[in-house]
Amino acid sequence: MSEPLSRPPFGRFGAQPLAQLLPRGADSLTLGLVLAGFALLYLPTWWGLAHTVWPTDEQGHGPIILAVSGWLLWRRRDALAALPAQPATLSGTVLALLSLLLYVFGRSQSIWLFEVGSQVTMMLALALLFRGWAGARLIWFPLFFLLFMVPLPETLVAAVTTPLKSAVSQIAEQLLYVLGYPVARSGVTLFVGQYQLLVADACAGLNSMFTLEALGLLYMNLMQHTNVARNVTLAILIVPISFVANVVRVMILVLVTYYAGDEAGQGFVHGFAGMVLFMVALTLMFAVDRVLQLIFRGSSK
Amino acid sequence: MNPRRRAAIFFGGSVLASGLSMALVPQRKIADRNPIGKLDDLVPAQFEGWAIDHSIPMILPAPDVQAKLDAIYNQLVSRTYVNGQGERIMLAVAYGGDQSDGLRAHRPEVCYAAQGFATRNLQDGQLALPGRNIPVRRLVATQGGRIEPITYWMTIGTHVARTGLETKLAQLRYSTRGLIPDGLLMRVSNISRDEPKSYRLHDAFMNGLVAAMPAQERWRLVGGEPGSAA
Repeated sequence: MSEPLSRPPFGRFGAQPLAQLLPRGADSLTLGLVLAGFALLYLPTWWGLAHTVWPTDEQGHGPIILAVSGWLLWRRRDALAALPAQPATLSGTVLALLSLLLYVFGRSQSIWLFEVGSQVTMMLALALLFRGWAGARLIWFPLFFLLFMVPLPETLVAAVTTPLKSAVSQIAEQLLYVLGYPVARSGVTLFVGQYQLLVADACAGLNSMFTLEALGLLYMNLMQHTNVARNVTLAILIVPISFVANVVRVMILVLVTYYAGDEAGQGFVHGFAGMVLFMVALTLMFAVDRVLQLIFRGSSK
Repeated sequence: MNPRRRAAIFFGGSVLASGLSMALVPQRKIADRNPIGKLDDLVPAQFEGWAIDHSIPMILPAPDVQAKLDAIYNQLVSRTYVNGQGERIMLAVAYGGDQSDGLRAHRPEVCYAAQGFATRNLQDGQLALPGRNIPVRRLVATQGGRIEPITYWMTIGTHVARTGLETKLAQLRYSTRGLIPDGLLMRVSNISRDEPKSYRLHDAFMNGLVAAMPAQERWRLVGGEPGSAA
């Protein structure tokens, strides 16, 4: 403790006794049992996700969501431990039993929605059982955030993706046409010059919409924006923002193909367009947030 | 109750749930008990005025699409039939011995759209077979000047399923009993601008095809009790 400021943060982190990583004042046996039980249930789930769903485009954000939720929870560890124990035993027990049922059914019948979804309700149940409603209120955001890692049922994804993809292709085509490019479209196939491009599922933007929505919520949470109306407005506006960003991505790919050929459009530029998507979307999101700030500050005067 | 006791009970519950979820995972494939044999032989090559049209060169899917198909289906039959009036029908039968979550038959309204076709008029229909109707889906896929009315359905074990949800529910009927069902996707289509006429042609074609199969094997394509005449 003689020279805490001159040390790099990781050095300090490593030098901390283990006890400081854990919630202050918590009973280690209780904590150990709860963590062990939770790990027993959900380590296999994360392992399974890591080998099936996470490597795909649709759920690439899964591990990040899990890590961020974990970090957000960990940040609240002391506050959680400091809360007086006023357990909501009945609600907690019912919810915990339901979560276990959901888990057993989902895991044995391979229904990700149930299996992964149950970890959110299980954490809520644990908060209720050990701390009560105040505890649940304290960790509601990390739990809500965790919902973004629940893989959606394929049926739903397919039902939303197809029309979304058509809309993205249609608008990209119209805009390029107005700009004077020789484009035509049939379904989700775009023709430009002598080239033909198929708008892939990933370009429908359902996944990027989810990732952006998660990022937006995280941003609001970390910025500690407290105006509910403003936060809700921003959360809703992220949907059209990500749609616009996807149209931009498709247009960029069409233009790259038009000027530089098929190879370029399919090569590294494809991944690069994905980056552009997020840059466009995040820029738009921050811009919209600034505007909302002005509007809501104005209205609160 | 003190927190340690609570934590111990939770831990016990977790051990129980974890064990239970492992014990309840379906293990037995019904395909092993009742193997389908060669799909190529099961689907009649010739019946009631229809025969395989060898004049149409088989268009093979792109390698990446083929790799995806191989991963999903164990057996795939894809043929064009022609009748005396020169009408042509394209038939695709895809069979998967393990219809668990990862290996689900892909529905045409999704897979055609994903390959650049525009799809429209997706509707539920009935295919009338002697003695019963089976639920089917119909849609029209277009790409440029190619207009392709499609009739399709899926079987999960002995059940016929139309939508993704129906498929999942049919699958659950097996998996909750520890069984892994097999599944099959039947797709009948032709190139025509006349939708109602095309669908009547599909129905007539299927009736002929099913009638030409041994009665105890028909259920594999159109569902129903194994061994019963459909």
